[in-house]
Amino acid sequence: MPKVMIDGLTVEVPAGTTILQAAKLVNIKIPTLCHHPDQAVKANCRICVVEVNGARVLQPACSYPVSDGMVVTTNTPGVRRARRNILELILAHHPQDCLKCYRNGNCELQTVAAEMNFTDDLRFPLAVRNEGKKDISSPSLVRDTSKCIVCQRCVYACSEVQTVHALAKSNRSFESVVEPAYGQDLAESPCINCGQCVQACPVGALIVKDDTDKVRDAVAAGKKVVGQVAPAVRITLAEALGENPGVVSTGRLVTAMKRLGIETVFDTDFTADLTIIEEGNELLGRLNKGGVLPMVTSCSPGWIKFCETFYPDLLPNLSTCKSPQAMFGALLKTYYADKYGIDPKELFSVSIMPCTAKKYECKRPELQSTDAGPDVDVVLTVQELAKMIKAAGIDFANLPETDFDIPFGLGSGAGEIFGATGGVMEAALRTVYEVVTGETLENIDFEAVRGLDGIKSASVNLAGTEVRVAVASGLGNARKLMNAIREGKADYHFIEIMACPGGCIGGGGNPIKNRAKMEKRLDAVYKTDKVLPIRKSHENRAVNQLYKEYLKEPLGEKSHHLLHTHYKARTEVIK
Amino acid sequence: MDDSVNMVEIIHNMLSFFVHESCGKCTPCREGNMRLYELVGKFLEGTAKEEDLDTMLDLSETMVRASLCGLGQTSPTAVVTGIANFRDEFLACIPKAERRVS
Repeated sequence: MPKVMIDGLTVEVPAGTTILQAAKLVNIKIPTLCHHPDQAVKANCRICVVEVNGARVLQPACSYPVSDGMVVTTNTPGVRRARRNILELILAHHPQDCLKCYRNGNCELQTVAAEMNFTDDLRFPLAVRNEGKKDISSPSLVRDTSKCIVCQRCVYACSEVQTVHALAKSNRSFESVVEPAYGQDLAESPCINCGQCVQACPVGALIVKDDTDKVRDAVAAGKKVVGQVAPAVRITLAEALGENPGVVSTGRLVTAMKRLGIETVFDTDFTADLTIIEEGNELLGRLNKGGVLPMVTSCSPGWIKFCETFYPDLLPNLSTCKSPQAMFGALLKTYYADKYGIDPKELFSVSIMPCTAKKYECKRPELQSTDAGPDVDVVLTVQELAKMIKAAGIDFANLPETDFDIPFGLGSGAGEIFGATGGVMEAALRTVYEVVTGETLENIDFEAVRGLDGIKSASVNLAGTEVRVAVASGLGNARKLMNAIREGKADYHFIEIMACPGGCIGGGGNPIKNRAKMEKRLDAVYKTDKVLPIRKSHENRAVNQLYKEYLKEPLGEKSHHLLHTHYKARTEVIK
Repeated sequence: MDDSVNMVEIIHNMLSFFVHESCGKCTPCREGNMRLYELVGKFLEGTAKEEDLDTMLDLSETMVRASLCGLGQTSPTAVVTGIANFRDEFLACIPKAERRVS
């Protein structure tokens, strides 16, 4: 193993280790901006330059691999001068309005400037690109290129991870800008609203669209505000409010929402269970009656738009089930409003989601079951709810816990694991196995479909029939799987796809993530499932009661109207 | 080109070439060439101060040492050698009030 000396400290590291990684091992923190631990090397911001003995010029620590006997210095006057000048060049092209920026207090550029103690006046005239020209065309994201530092982390997320290619660097030199092709707005581009660019952006150039005022207005107007909370939200909300990743805050988040004026708070785990009943029966129907296989899940609205855009020929493979959020919205404005004597027009339905694409989904015209507006009026992401909680002066860390309200407050462990990649598959298998075989499943932990791997597969014996399943998260992985299906090379019966790497806990609306945080969130999902009294969707009493009282049977007429949907090809954006 | 040309104009012209040629990937070259071009432009406009020469040399060194490729590493050569060999031509462009007292 190569031995390297950094600032006089010797460290032995495996070949291929970068100077940045080796320096970390001897407690030296080198500033970075374009570097992202989960992405390939870009080495374009140059803020991490160091001196390497024998090298002609400074070298970027984020990409330069160590070699045996290498001597590196990270804190010489020359290095400090170069870094300071690079930072000055970036700042002279960046708005100086940190105080009113969405990322104030949570910005990597701000942090680097503070840590480098940059307090000088700029020697260059401020030249902010595209000043005042925000792209607000997307229902999910706001793109403000004036804040962009052209690090291209969003381009990596959009093009390499998600293979959507909505964002790329345009122009050259000083005019460089990251934007959709031909300078289009995001809404005209193939963007599928997943928000992985928001997760990648070090500054405030790509942010979640803020809909919090719509909720405040509805509360102020005295509407009957009803909320639903997605499975992943309880995993990541505390993290967004400064607690450790993986701290689960189910009870506290209900309390906080009620204090914000969302008087009734339901659990989307409930409709996750409902999804399993509908989708499980749909799968059995397709298996028994020779329907289109493999059947692919439809919970992830980013994935749905991706499929509509790039794989319109495979739309018949998609389950017709609405997403759990959309099922919930439909039930709220019909069954719930009716049962509790509320005028659906007075009912304001708010979803708290880890997902930016849900903001797009709730605006789909086919997801309007009544004449009382969209089934879900507003979607707030975890980031937005955290901002509302902070702004309202709620001491989240010390809040008492409150249970979800009835009748939609009961969710099973199967609904809980919808938040992680493989969760929908595992939940479906728990139910489908017992329905088909009539036996009780001894071990309900399907380890083969768990974990952060991009593509996972397994096969399950269902009363003599071998059912082959696959799970993909991240649209680059989904693309691989869909290409295999197109070419007839994938022989699966059932496939789960989530647009975001890691599933909903890695969604664009969560606090900014990295792999290490994702592992803690994932762990929290399965720990929460493990301790719940009910862990199978078909044992959810509230779901069974809903069928008895209202829906009558899975895939029945009411279900058809309220819980299922249709899709349309959107290839025009890539032609 | 002979000794009748204005070196400040020549360097300004060369920098406009590099401002155009920079691919825009790395910070020192993307931002630095334009800033050098602007600074030399101040001498042509008659708005430069003597400190601007220090800024140009300081920025040039950072570009040479920290740019990703040969373009940004060499584009300041004209500035550095121009100031070294034709400093008086730059100084002649600075209004009297802005000159350092020697």
